[in-house]
Amino acid sequence: MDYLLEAKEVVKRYGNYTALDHVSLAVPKGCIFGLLGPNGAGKTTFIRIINQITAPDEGSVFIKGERLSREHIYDVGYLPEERGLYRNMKVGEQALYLAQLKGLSRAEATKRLHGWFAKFGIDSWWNRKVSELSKGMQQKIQFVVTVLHKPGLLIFDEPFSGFDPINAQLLKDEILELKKQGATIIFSTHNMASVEEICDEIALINKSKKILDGKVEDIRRNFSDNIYEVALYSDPERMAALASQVDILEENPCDVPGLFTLKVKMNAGAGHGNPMLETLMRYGEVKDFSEKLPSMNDIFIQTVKQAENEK
Amino acid sequence: MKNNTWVVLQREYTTRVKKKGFFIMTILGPILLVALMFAPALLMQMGGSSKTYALVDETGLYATAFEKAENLFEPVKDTAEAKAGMRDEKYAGALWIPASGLDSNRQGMVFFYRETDPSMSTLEEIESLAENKLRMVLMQQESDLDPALFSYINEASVSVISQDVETGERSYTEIKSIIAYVVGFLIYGFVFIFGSQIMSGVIEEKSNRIIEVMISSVKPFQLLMGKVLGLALVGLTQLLLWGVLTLVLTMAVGLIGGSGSMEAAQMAATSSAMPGMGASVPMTEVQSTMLEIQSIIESLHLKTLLLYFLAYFLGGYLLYASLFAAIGAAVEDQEDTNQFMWPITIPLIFGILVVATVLKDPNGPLAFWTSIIPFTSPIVMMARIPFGVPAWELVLSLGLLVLGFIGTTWLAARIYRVGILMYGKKGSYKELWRWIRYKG
Repeated sequence: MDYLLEAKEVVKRYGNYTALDHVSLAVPKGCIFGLLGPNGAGKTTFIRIINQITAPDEGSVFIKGERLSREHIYDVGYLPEERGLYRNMKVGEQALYLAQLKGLSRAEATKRLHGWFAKFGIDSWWNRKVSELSKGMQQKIQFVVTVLHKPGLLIFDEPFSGFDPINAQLLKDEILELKKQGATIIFSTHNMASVEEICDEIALINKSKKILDGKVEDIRRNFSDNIYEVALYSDPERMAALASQVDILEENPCDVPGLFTLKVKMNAGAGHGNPMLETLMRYGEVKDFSEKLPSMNDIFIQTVKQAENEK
Repeated sequence: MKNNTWVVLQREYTTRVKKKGFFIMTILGPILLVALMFAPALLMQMGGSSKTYALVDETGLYATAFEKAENLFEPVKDTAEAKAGMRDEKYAGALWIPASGLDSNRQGMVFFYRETDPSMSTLEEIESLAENKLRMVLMQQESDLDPALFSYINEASVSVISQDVETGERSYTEIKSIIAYVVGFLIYGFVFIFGSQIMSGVIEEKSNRIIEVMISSVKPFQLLMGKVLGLALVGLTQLLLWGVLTLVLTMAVGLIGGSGSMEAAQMAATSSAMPGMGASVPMTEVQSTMLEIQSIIESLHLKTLLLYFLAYFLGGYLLYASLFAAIGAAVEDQEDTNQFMWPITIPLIFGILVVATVLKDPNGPLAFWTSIIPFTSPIVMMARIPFGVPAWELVLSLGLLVLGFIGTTWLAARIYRVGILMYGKKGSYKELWRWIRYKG
């Protein structure tokens, strides 16, 4: 597997407080990697370590197989959760400044900025002061500045916070576009719906420790309770017989006579789709059959609570 | 990576130099300076507004005494007339010389004023003219000395000049004292003005929350250095512009005002006469003042003085600048800075206070120690340099200053790198100590 970023047994302490406790992560190249966890779990500390804002006390971090070094900052774009701009600087100047700090030449940065600004329809802001812009406008500029130097690794910390739905959609599309172009994206958020939508893999950090990681699909399957949503043509008698074979968690009567929509679960332990489907077929005609996977939100809450209880 | 310090430096420099405030300061500074140099001279040349006073001389001795006075003294009959004249605004004041006192060498006089007090110089002038007259009168009464001989004796005076025994150079102590103060205040002012600018810049970055974006591209130390050096350049630019503008303005005012005002200015600056100039060489007044100015400049060793000024200016600034940045990093807004400001304020103010002592005794123990210790040396040593300082003291002082600013920068950088990312935590000295000890 080709990993863009690997963290091995990373430990970070602040005085007596341990912010990261032997955290290991591997982010495959070209994926969108969700970094999840409750407030104060250590996500921001981890991100700061990748950005070399702070150094780990133990463990090591590799980008493209090389140990993290100062050169890598040019290949990382970071949009922090706490983000701002110099209020008294003009938009263009400000963006140029931040781009130059990421190693772009003035000429190249100017060219690229005009490209991005035109795309977002904000080129007319070039000579306006940042303080004259609305928060949403400022965030667009921050986004552009983050991606301008075409880094191989992009880190977005709560990117959608403060965005209105239209701009949030725009941002999401841009993130997916960047992925298509080959960027690897680390995405830290509380917003579980957006995780399901755009993340390929996730890691869940709680109280300085990684408690879960993997592909989003695999995780949801692993957390599956084998609950299926079913639409079945049947009759009350056969339905009663079915109830002795499986757990019927929910039964919603339908307007169509003889059609039952159900949420069912095998009562005898684990069961895959096929045995369930075979059972159902014996009691009626299956019109619709789908597995009800748990949402990332449920998994998040369940895992964090479980971790709390273990203590 | 060094590049990034440069990028930060450029921004700090250009944004500040482009500001209106910088422009205004740059223009106003030299104008004020030149105005201070020329105003007294120009005012003197204009002759000021001479006033008319009433003179009630009951002794009948002083009528001719005030002929040479700057103000006009008009004899009147009695105080009643004088007071009436004052009420009619005919007289700005009145001098009453009562008849009593003629029998001794003490003469009391009363100066009546209305609304505005008489100036110190008016009273001094009256006293000195009247004293001369009184002495003359007494001399004539009590002896048979020739009045011409008496006035020769009466005008006898002594002046002391100091001269270097090796080079024969004259020392202009008054001018050196003025320079000592001006330079001391310049360094003090620049440290405070530019230090505070750094501090508020750091607070701005922290409260704007741009700092996290910044330090994902720049190491905190590079950011700090970019700021400190950028502002040092702003300061040097300002000084350079002041120097050039002052020179241009001085020349312009000199030309416009004609040679008369130049002379007046020079005479106002130095009222003492040239040493070692025999009467055998006849000179115009202009020539002699030019020569005098030349010798003053020579005696000050202007080039060396300028060089030391730059060294101490930069050293002093660098010593304190990063500390200002550290304070900015330790707080959340400007109001919280007070508790951390005193370690900076006290040594600087102390330095300025010590300058007065230094001028009395440039080589005393207080002058020595405060000009060696880095926190006061930029101000105190600069005050001592015009009077001559042994080379080893200068080397020691400058060496310690360099060590001092490396030390404070190191300390400040450790506070800074932690402080800029701390929110919601109020800095205290204990907290700062913990930050200094954080590793990595």
